[in-house]
Amino acid sequence: MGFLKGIFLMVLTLIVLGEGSLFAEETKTESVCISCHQAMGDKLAVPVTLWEESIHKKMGNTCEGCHGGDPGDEGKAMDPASGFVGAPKPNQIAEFCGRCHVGVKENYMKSAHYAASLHGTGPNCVTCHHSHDVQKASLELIAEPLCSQCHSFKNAQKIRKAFVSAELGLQEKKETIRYVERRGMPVKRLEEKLFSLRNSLHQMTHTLDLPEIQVKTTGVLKELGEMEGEIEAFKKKIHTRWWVGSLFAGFLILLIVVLILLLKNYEEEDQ
Amino acid sequence: MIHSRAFNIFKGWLATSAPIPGEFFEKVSSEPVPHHLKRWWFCLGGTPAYLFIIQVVTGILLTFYYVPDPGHAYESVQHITYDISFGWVIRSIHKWSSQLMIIAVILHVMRIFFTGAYRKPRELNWMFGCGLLFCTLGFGFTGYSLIYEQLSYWGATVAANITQNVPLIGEYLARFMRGGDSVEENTLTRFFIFHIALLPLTITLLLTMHIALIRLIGVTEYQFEEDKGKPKKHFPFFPDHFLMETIIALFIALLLTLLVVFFPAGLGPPADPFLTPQHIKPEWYFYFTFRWLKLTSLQVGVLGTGVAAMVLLFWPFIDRFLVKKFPGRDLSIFLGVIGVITLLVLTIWEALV
Repeated sequence: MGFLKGIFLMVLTLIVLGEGSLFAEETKTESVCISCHQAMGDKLAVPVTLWEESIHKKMGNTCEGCHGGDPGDEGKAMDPASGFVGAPKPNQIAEFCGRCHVGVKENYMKSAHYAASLHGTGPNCVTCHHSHDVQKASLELIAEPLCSQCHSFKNAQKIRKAFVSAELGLQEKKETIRYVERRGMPVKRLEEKLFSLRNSLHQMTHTLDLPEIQVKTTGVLKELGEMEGEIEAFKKKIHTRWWVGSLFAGFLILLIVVLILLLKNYEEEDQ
Repeated sequence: MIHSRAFNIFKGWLATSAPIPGEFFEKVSSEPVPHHLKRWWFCLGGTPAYLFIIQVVTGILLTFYYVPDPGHAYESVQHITYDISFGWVIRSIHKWSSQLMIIAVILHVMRIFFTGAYRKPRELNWMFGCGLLFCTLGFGFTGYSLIYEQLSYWGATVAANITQNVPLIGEYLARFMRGGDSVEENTLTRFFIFHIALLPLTITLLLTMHIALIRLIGVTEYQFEEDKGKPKKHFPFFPDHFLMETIIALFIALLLTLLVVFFPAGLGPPADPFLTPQHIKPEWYFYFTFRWLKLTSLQVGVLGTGVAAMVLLFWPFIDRFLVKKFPGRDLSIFLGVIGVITLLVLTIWEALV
């Protein structure tokens, strides 16, 4: 058994010596922003840790997406000539985020929040969404602990209520679309429509205009209802496939049973 | 009257054009088959062959519409799945049949291993069988990469990086596989050629050799405990064995029908070379090697996988050495069980994380 023991020890040694470097090729090209900030630690490493958990990370938006610069070159990483803009001042935040979130910025600029921010007291994007651990927008953001930091929750609660049915409708539709997609239906168009509906609804939040929001949510619910027809047609198609498939499977089972009986018959004859 | 005359004319023409004597068919159909083949798990050898035929037919149909170009590959698969009549059926059959083929080959190899059917004089046939297993896995890998969705693209990227770490020839091997320094336009063309030409040709040759050797040497006549001491029993190829194989083929068709209808082939997001997915995972049949590579350094991982493949390939000779060194102890079963448990543990471990 010494021979086997030797093999076992050799394998164990190899495992212990391993460095788990399967993705070595990918990490070679890691952004210098991340490696540098992590190496500096303390306050400067916090943005990296927060970003790791953000929707931006999930969507593939890296440091240079917001801050510019060249993430592949240590010398040019923070060079204005490479487009580096650094962190924005509070009064620049709406413009900064609005470079990508155009619709949101437009609606925010119509709101009382923006008007107050011009006097240096109102909230900007990061007040509610944070700067690096940005999460996917949801109704949870309109919550008393956050809003009551500046004003009463009364009006915000009305806005939240107006959104609930549309938000639930979007969520439900998303699950239904997943369901038909997993069963082989082409849902790209439906997904795009849902995405656009969700975006237009969430952009509307930033106006803080309750009557306009109520009109919007009614419109969203109507459009979700219109999508139902297409989804029902998909479900019908899925059920047809299931029936035809089951019938064919039943026929095959019958055939298998007949052949098994035939085989048994031959075996009995042989004996 | 006219019909029977026409038939007789045709029969006469066939007898002169293809003069195969009737005795030949009689001989082939009445050939005695060893009695242990009454048990279905001894008939697993034919299963991958049926599935391979299904793969060839559905593969040819898919090739009518598939475009092996990075700019169009994903769209062409989308077109097949959602626009072409019965395209979803063909693609789903191709997908599920490949999964079943891999399972069938693995089960067949395991059956041969644990019944010792690789021993003298069948060592060479075992090696052809291993070649068929490697080819089947190659089919799975290249086929999965052709979809050109995000996971399959990054799977190919990681596989190329792994290949690069093969000692001495790694760089050349990776370049040959990718058709360049990275996964690019040429890679898809290469994978397409591997998948529809090189691998089918290799597997056909190996399969021919495999079957030819079975015909020349014959199958191992396995005797169970209850049969020991009794005279060896046989049964006719036709209709008994033919019916058994037909039942197995129909059972596969049933399984495929259910899988295709209730779990049709889907499509993930298209490949994005600039966005590395958070979780890169290969197909389930490479989970064990992927977990192993994560446990060790890349070079050790690649070497370990290579050594394991070589051990499997030359097992009949290693087994002979072990039998001589440790007489009276059947170490092959013990080592085989350890091997299977290791594979299962690594596969399940990777599946759970």
